[in-house]
Amino acid sequence: MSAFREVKSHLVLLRKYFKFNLAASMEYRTMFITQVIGMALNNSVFIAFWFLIFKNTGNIGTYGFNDIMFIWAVSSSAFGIAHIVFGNCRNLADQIQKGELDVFLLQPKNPLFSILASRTIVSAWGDFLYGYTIILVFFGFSVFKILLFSFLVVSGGIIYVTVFSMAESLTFFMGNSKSISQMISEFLISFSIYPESIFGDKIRWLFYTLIPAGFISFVPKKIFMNSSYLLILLLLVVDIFFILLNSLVFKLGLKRYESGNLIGTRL
Amino acid sequence: MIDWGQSLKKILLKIKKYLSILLVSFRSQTSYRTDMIAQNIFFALIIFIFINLWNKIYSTRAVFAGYKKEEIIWYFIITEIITLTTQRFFFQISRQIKDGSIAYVLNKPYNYLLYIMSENAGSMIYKFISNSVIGIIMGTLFVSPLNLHILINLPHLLICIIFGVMIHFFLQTFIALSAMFVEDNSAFFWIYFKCIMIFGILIPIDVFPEKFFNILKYSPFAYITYAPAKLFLNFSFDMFYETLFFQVIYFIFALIISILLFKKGARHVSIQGG
Repeated sequence: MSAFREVKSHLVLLRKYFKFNLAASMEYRTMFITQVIGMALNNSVFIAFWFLIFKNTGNIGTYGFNDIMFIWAVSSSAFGIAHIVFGNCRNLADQIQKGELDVFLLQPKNPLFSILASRTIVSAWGDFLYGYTIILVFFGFSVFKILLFSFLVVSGGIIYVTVFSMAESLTFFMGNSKSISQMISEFLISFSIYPESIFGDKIRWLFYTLIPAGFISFVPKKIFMNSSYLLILLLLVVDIFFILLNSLVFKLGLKRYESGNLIGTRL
Repeated sequence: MIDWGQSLKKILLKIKKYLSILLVSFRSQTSYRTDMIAQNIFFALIIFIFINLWNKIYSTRAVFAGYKKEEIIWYFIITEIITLTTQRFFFQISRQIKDGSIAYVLNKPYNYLLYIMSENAGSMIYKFISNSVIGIIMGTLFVSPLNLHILINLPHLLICIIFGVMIHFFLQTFIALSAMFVEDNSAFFWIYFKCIMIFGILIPIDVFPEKFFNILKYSPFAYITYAPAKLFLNFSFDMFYETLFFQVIYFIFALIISILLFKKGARHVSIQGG
């Protein structure tokens, strides 16, 4: 019961962070709109690329044009929601290195949760909306599809946030993990937007272990395109596993944290 | 009377000044070893993904839009080498303008555009060499050995690659300098960069429908990546001179618009104290 209350109170806090971050972003409305449209246009260039490829080839392994559009949609929206809600997930290393965590450690809620939710990335709205636009244009509208897609987006978003956050938390142990963290991010993003079938069996295991791109786009594709609904349970287990692993890595790292004695306030 | 000796001395001193900036930037680039390795690994990752993609596509056909597998992969390696050489400096200039640190540069006795060019040339030389080595090794191992005609025509190819890099550099500079006028200019860069990607990097532009290709082949995007990479695949002196002609025109164009925008923008810059 107390665990339930804990989750509920964190969700309330998340809603407040979200409202506050959104209001702060909307303060610079022109910037907000140009970034959102710019990012959506930026992503849509790949539709042209894949269209040209499929026009000249037909299918690539087991992937058709719509399959590619789906993995782009789900990874783009998942990346978007991860950075809208937990926009600080790729800035954690800097804060650890500068000793700027003190202000979060004094707060009554889970510090990792507060750190990750304390910032939003405006352009991520472009990524988020781009995925939904793809679904509407290429798969049509149905309430069930949108709900299912939204679940897959949230699930993928959790994977993105937890992997990015763990990579950044390596700073606790290594001094500066920024380069490694950037590398892990690039690997995760890059592998989640290309068809799984182009890679040989020797490296595919990576997508379900060290670089879990498979749980962001390939498993969701099976659920959405092939109606393999039992795999939803697998995604739930994987999400919980990554949340717990991320908390554990941060907790272990925090024991090695040294404050920068920086006096700061969060209003 | 013009004192030619004196003028030459002044020019040499200026070259020495910008060369020193270039050397400092090259040294600082090589000092951050993990960053260097991370950038190279990213390059290798992209090449690896595309080698896999094209291998899969060519597993059921011998030719794609007139290109053999080796040709399309080598094409991609060359276009990636050109674009990743100048990858991230747009953000550096925009940030300098937005946070006001441009003030430290503007009050120094050098030309801002030449300064950023020399400052970035150091890292560009490093990236160009390291990415070329990785690209050539990966291409040779996973696709096909380098054709010998490349070595014979290497100076010509290098000239076209350098011009491609310079056009890309000054177009980026032009977009980055727009930060002097607009609140946020990153969206312009994303769109520009994606135009570069689709109109030359990812796929040769002759894959597009003919009417579209006939327009695209005269665009600046074609002379950043497509034309030099095409020359790499199939060298001829006619093609070389044609490519160089358009590259020089686009280079001068990109340079002039950057200078004009900088001159206009420099009057707008207001720096906060502190």
